[in-house]
Amino acid sequence: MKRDVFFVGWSPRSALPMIWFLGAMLLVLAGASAGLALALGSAVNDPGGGDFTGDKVVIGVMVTAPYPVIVTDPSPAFPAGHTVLLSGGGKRGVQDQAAPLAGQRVRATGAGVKRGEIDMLLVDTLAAEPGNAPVPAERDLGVWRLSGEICDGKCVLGVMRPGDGPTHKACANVCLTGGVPPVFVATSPVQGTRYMLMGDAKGGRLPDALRDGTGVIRRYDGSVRTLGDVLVFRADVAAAVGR
Amino acid sequence: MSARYAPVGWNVSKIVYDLVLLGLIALYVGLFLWIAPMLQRVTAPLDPWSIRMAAYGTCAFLLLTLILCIGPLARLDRRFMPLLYNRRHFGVLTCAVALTHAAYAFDWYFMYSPTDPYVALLSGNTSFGQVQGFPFEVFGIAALLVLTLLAATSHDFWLGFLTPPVWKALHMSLYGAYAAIVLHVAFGALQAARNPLLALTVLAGLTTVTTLHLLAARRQRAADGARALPSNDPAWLIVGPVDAIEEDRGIVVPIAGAESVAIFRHAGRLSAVTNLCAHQNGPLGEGRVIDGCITCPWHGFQYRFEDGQAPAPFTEKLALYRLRIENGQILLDPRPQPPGSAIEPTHVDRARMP
Repeated sequence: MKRDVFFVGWSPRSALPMIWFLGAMLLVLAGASAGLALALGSAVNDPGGGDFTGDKVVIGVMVTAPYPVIVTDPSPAFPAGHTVLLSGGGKRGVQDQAAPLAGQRVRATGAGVKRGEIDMLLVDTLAAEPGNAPVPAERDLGVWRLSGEICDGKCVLGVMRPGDGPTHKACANVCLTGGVPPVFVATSPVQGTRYMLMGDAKGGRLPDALRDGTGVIRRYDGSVRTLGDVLVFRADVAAAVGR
Repeated sequence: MSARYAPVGWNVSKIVYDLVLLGLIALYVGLFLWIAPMLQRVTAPLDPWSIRMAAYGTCAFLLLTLILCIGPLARLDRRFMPLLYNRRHFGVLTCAVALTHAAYAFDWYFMYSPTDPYVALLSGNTSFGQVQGFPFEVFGIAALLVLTLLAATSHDFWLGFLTPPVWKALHMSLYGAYAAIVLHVAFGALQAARNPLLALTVLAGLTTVTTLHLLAARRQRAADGARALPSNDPAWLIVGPVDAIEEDRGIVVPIAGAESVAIFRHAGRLSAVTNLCAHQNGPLGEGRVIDGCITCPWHGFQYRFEDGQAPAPFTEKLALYRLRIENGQILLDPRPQPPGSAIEPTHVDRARMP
């Protein structure tokens, strides 16, 4: 039987008979708070190594399909034929700015983001640049069945850490709706990389129907091609949606 | 003690309660934000927004778990009663923590896009037909709406305006909010977590809340007086022996089809009142007689033993019940008398006289 105590809030003295109990309870609560904070705060998923790489100047040829990229000229920052994905500020793409410059030599400035071998430029300025602009040839690597997650390229490359997974699904869809290039993160590497630019089977933008697949691991069929030094996964949308 | 509408009727207990609560929240969030990241095994640190979302989100879950444990704990051991006293401030602080979590999530995931952020919130994920990637945000929004509604109506003004039964029923929706938060975590963070700690924490919280409620309910059933039995006189029920009630204590008498009655003993007399406190419908029968007043265990609201009225200048009145004693047995007329009716307490010793 517990001691006969009866606490009345407006009479703090009524707490005196249980003061040791309350003190012990406070210590337990403080200890539990500290322990849980440290445990839950440290037991996090590794968001990977994507991060900002500082201000960049990118010069090369503009390719706008399936999403705007620049295939670079050789420079101190990038080797020749390196593909830099382009995104705008916030959850926006740069399709409108890039479209008039398709196939031309361009100069873009902005903040760089990099994960693995994939670079992205968060475009600040974008303008035509004098000089020749040979459009890079694509190489077809055949039809593949790939498991992986559709992510928005901006977040998964390092703007958000973590920028993938189910908790990020809505954000990924908002980014993709805004025109940010999608990046497919395969569970196993293809030609040495797990990160691929993604489009539909005809090389166009990712259809809205595939947005159920963002943030979760799913299997897709499609062809894989090169665009500069980046792989483009052209997913068979009809098969994926029906699956 | 009574209902007088002031922003907060501060006293020492409330100040200490709130300071302790704020201290615990600051300790948890501070360690989560500034110390725990140093212990993470990651290639690159998580972004600050994600850490803040996790810190305030887990904090809100743990606070709500604690809130729901307070009621049964106080029933199981009266030394937990001080936790119950200022539970409404606990709820308001929990709502503030949950809103902070939501604000960071909203800012990070739904702002800065061509889509209106509120439209983005509701349309960003519409995959309702799948378990993996289910729009867990809807559970969080539902919980947040309930928490905000409860925080906004936590003041005694709303208690008086809505009446205690309606207010109490409304605030029972806290259990719905808790269920929504569990689903929010289960379909959200737990789907992404590669470490079982969060799942174990949620499971432990849910199990603790459920177990404590079951234990408290069992204890309550055992503690309640036996249901009153019919007597020879159809207007009266037999409650039990007079000696079953200790001095300055009460018993709760369940009445079939009606509110329970609390019968108190004080200074050789018995008095029967409704078991529902006029403040928040707290269980008066679990209270005490202090300074000649029946005192509610929840917030210390008081009513005179003699007539069930709050001492002047307060105005609350309890419904009283008629009692009589025959052969050492308490008999109760289960029909409540209008609040404020004068019913003389029944003298125990006089009634015992042959």
